[in-house]
Amino acid sequence: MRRAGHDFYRWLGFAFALLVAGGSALLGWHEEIEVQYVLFYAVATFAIVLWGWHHFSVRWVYGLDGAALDSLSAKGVDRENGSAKAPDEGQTKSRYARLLVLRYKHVVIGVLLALALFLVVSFSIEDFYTTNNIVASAVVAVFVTVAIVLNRTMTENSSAFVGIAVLAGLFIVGSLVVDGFFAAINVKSMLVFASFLGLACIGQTLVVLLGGLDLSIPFIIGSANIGLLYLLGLGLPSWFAVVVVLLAGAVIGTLNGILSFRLQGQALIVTLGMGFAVAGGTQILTSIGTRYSGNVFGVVPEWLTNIAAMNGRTFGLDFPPVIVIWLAAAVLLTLAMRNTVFGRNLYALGGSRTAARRLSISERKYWVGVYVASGAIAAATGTLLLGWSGGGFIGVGDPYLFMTLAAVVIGGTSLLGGWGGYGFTVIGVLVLQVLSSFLVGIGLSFEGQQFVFGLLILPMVAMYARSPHIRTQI
Amino acid sequence: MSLHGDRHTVAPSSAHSHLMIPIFLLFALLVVAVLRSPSLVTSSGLGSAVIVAAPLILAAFALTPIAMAGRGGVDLSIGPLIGFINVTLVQLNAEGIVTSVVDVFLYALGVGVAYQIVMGLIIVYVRIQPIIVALAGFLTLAGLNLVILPRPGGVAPEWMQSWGLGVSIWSPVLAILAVAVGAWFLFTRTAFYDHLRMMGADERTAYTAGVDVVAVRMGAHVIAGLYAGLAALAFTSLIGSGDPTQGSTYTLMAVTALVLGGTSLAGGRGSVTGSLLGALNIYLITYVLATFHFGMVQSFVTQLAYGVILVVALLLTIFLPQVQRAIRGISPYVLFVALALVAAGVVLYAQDDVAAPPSGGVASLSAASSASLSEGSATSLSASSATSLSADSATSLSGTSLSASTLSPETEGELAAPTATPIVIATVIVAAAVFLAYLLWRHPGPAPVALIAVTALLMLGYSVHDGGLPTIGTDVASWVGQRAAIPPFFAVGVASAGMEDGAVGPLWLAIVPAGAILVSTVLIFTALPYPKRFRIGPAALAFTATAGALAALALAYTRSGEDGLSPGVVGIAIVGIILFVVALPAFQRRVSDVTSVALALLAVAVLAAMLFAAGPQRPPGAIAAIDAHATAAGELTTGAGILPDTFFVEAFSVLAATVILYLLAIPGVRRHAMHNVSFDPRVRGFSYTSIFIAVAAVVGLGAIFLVADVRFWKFVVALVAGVIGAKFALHFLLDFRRKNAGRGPMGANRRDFMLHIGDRAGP
Repeated sequence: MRRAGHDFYRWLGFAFALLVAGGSALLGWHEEIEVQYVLFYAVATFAIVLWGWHHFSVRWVYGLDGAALDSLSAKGVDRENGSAKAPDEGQTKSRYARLLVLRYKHVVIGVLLALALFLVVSFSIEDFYTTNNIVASAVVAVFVTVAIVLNRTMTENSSAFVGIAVLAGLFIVGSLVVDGFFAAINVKSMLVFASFLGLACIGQTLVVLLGGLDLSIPFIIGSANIGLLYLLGLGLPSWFAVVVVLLAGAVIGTLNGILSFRLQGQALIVTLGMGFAVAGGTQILTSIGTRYSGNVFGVVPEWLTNIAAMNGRTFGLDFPPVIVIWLAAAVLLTLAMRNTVFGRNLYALGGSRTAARRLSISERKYWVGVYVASGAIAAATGTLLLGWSGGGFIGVGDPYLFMTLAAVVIGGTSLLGGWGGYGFTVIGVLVLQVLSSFLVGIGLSFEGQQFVFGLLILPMVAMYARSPHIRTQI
Repeated sequence: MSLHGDRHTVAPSSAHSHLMIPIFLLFALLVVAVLRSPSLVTSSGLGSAVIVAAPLILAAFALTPIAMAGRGGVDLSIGPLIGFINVTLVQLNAEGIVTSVVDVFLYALGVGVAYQIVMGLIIVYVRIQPIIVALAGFLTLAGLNLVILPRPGGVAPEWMQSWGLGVSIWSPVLAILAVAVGAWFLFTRTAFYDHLRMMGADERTAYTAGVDVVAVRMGAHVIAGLYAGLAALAFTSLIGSGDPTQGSTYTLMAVTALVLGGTSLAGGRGSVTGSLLGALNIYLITYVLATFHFGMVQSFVTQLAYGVILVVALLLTIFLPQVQRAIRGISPYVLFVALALVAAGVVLYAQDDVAAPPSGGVASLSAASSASLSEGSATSLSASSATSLSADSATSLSGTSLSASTLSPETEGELAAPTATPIVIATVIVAAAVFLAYLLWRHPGPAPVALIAVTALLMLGYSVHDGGLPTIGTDVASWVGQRAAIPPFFAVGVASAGMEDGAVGPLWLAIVPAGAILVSTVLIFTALPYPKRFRIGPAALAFTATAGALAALALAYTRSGEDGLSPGVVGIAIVGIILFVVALPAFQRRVSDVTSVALALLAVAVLAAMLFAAGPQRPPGAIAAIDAHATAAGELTTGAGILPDTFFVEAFSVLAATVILYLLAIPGVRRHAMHNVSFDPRVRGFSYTSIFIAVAAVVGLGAIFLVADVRFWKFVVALVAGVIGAKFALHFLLDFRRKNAGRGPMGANRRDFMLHIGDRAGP
């Protein structure tokens, strides 16, 4: 039995590797790259995919999935033959194919539906039936199918796997469909935007890990944005103004933390209310004595512009330091979450409050702590966004209201707490940013992007964050 | 010990006691709103209030069943859903597809239900957390709305155009609201409603008890969809066109209304009454804020207020059990009636005693009041006394008669200030003084001293409010003054020398958030259960600071003057009343007999209602008069000059009326109360006692009121208020006696008045 399953997977993998290699060769041919490069890359792709496939398939067939397939096939065999005699290889292989189709019938139906949709679109929209679009659609279909199929067999980190698969697919599709998608300038701009979103998500990830939510982030970002410019306009030294803004963010975070700790389970509303109060208060403050209510004018210091603006330079290199800051923060945070007492305790608390309390981990301290971090980091993001745009605007944080949450959710951090991490959120951020860039590339407005994001969240969450059925909770 | 503790925690007075806070807030806001802008209670004012508040109310209704169903479900997508139905309806109307009444209703309700069913199916079968589904719905619909209708435009169906005018309270929107409320109350009679509450409180228990949780959850979503459809219709009729973004703003407001209405976001607890009250509170908050003319920062102040109120309302829900314990014995119904009486008094006062702003309102008011005057004279006075009365009032300046001469500008300044306001202030101050003296006598310590200091500060503030505070304003202005165009320190959005219209001074801007924060602090502190010593101190401090801030606010506001906005003495009185009421619970724990405090409160309330109702007519232009008289504000304490001749007559008559009323009512009620009169307000019936009270009071008081030349309808109102108030006063007394019987601290109260009256007929 196992041997038969193994064989099947091996052939499937072979076919897949061939497909990918063929696809890449086709791409190369299409892009008019020289023949030897095309051959080299095609062979290399083929080898890597085959190796990876073999590596995984062996694990699956003899580990997790094999048993299930065996039992499936054993039932079938028992029903048909009534004997334990092993059928020959060919028969088994076709039966496996049939069983697989049956087992993944939703996926098959989905793929067929997608195909039908593609055909309909091809016939109804002019100029859709181009090589690029066909290849792009095929890539999407393959990646989605593979992601879903493999997702079933992975017991952990499936969200990261799905995220990376989607990311890779998006990159390929984007490069195919949108001109200049993979150009240095576009990649740089994607990274800069991803840095802002990623920084804003740090706090959200930490908070979500404990089972909370922080919807005040966008308001703090906007308030920090105009508040900093207001302070600069008053003539404060820029470093002092930044420190003041960060401290204010931390204070708001503290309030958020204390209030939402007291109001367990209502963090969403508490932080939303706090956010509104903060945004209103900051605007009132900055309106005092001016005739331009809500509009603040001032000069952003040079160094801040350099950190965040697109044409900033890091030690003479041609990219703004904010990318480095984000990457460093991501690496540090990911390592810290795994290896420090703080990080481990955070997971412990998120996983089980009761157990953590038994370990003498202060619930209040960590809860308030992550909110303080969230507030301060949101204020920092607002500061950086001021450097990026050069002008204060309260609404600058608005897109982050749901984007931070979406990035965390798509990354795979559980909203119930205790599972996930900033590494996952980075994947979520990149997926969102690449997708957004791609949607802009194909000419979708912000509203259209929002629509797509909304539709995207549900299936992605459905893949790995379903609650158990009620009857299993009794 | 635990048994003992349990005995004291059981049985809140009513299953709906979470409604206490919204009820209290509703009337507090209503009083302020009416005093700030009396046009609220005209037919068109109420009509537009209904039109404007209806979408919010219905959206809050739509959130209620989903929140009750549990799993932390707050349908954040309600706003975009309203927007979606709105824009598609407008577009389909433009295409001529959905135009008729039936079509539009079917379409709106159908889309709402369909969307909610999809959402419910995802929640039930895909088993994703409701909040994520709502989030995805929010993003999707908000994006889709802008795709369908990129910018506001289009027109609502023709037959709907007139709905949004709001000229009369009897509009189709009101009918929709009535049907919505009625449908909910029918719904609460069903077993399905019980299942919903049970599932929300504990889904596993409901499941094991055989409740079909899938069907119940889907049912909750269907009901929510129906209300969402109605909300979208109300919204469409309000704006009369399509707007892709405006609808989304309803999400936050509706969630705030939901929380304010006492619905638990954790599920299980909630009522449409609460949502209704919450939505009305939100509307009134916006209304009150709009009357303050913040100028450019209006929207920011509104935003700030929403946020603060949302958080404070949530914090109050924490202390709800403690609040319930602290105020047990007072049912929400009684609270509602008592506060409604006060509010009714204030409405009458604002309608007839305070003139409309000089611009425009003069003619209509004078016409109305002269008409009512002639009616009143015909009813209660003979023709000869009417003429003598008008001749008298021309000299006594009581303002009862509104002769043509009062409208001429040169006589305006001679008109009297309303007498009701000083009476109310005096009553509050006297009540507070008595209370404080008692407090100081029984419990000497820093807290009562602080309270007394604050009261003194209030009075001082009143007396010097036009006499010139230290001119810190100029100093601050010079400090901040490097920036050009600093408005005057006290500017409140009115044009003044060198400043454009709408400039707002720093003091005003600083005080508003400070006041909001401090008031919240006080609310939180007062809601704390059984305050320990260390809590009294902070509460007193917070109270002092709040009072200082608010007094300064009132002063600053008074100084702005001359624009028809000045609340003057009324503002200070309101501040005083609010402070008094707010501060009471914090200190009531130190007073051993809670009942007397409750009685004092009730007495103040009833008295205020009566006084407001009994106050004489105030002619138009009197705001200028009050300002003129306000220069002599210090004379209030001396009692000369500002008070018209009829002041003492009225004060005496009202006081005498109250005393007589109670003398008449209480023995009569006492005799029958224990045996054949039910004081449960839910029990209807015509009791012998109330007839007795009514007849005796009418006969006894009629003469006094006639002497005081108070108009007949005011007399009737005051009488009704007094009779009902007396009944409820007794209800309070008996209830407190019953509840507190056998408790330690109450043992010392044998000599207390209320226990005395129930002595012979104890339970």
